[in-house]
Amino acid sequence: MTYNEWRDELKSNLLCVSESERRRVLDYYAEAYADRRDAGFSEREIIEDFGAPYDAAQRILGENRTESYSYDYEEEPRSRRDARRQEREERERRREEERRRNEERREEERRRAEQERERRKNERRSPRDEDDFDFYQNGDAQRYNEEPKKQKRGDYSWVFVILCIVFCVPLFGLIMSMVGITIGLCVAPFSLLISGVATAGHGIGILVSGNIAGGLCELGTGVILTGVAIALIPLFIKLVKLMWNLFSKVFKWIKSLFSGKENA
Amino acid sequence: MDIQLKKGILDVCVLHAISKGESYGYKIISDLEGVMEISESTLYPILKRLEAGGFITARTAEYSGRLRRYYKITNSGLKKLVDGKNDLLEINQIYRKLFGGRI
Repeated sequence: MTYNEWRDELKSNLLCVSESERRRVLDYYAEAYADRRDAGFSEREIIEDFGAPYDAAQRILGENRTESYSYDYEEEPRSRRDARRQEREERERRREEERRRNEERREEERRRAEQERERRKNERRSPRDEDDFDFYQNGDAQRYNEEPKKQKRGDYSWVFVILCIVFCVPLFGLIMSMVGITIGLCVAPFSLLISGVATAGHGIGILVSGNIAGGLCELGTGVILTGVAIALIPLFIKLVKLMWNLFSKVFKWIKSLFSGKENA
Repeated sequence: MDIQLKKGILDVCVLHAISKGESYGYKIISDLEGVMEISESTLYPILKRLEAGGFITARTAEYSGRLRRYYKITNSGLKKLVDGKNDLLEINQIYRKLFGGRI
């Protein structure tokens, strides 16, 4: 069995633990493997020492499951304890990330400042006198602090804008079409009703003007239209309600799209 | 060895190994060689448990182009180590009283 096979088997035995915990375990074994290789062990020996992937997974799972151990938090219900632990791990991870990022940034800034100072020193060789130097240095130091930050932010923002556009066009289309359908459903019964009443009125007009057959025909059509419109009103109300529900569902869905899927 | 007893003693061993300064997985195992044989698969749950209990803290740092997790003992970890030492001493005394010098 190679190390990769061993790791894959371990991974498949850890499907029931959280993603972050699984990553931690795999990182741990990757580190252990690399350290042992550096110490001169062969792949076969290492795998043998690690034990069967199933057993390793059982140990990890057992630690997660049974806390027959007495620590200060023994009385606490397990669920809360687990939640607290997860929270702590999460917090720690974030702090670590932030620290690393800060370190990188500081390093970058320091390097830049160094370069700039070097450049300036070379420039200064010629015409400037001593008093100016301090002033220049201070002014520059401030500028270095701002520069890299700005650049980084700029880099991300255009990516973000493109992402927004890409995601928003179909979403916008969807919402607009739903609004259109809803407005249509609201207006349709009224237009039917109005046209019915107008036709009936026209029929009466024709009747009065003497054309009895035509007038009656028109009047009948108008009354039928009005009747149909009134009969259909409950159906339209139902459809509008349905659209309303659909709206709330779509908005929930959009919200879940943007708030990350880890919780889902 | 009884699993509960072993668990407790392993905790003390690992805490002791870390108490001498920041350490990492393979170093802890090497340091404990000859005292108590543990494998990486045994060590992981111990480290996780100690970290969850706040007895050690961990940080990830780069080492020759890869990541390594370094562990450091906390104040409550030091306290736990002292307690653990006293427990071992007590066990030792119990053994002597029970069996004298005989093994």
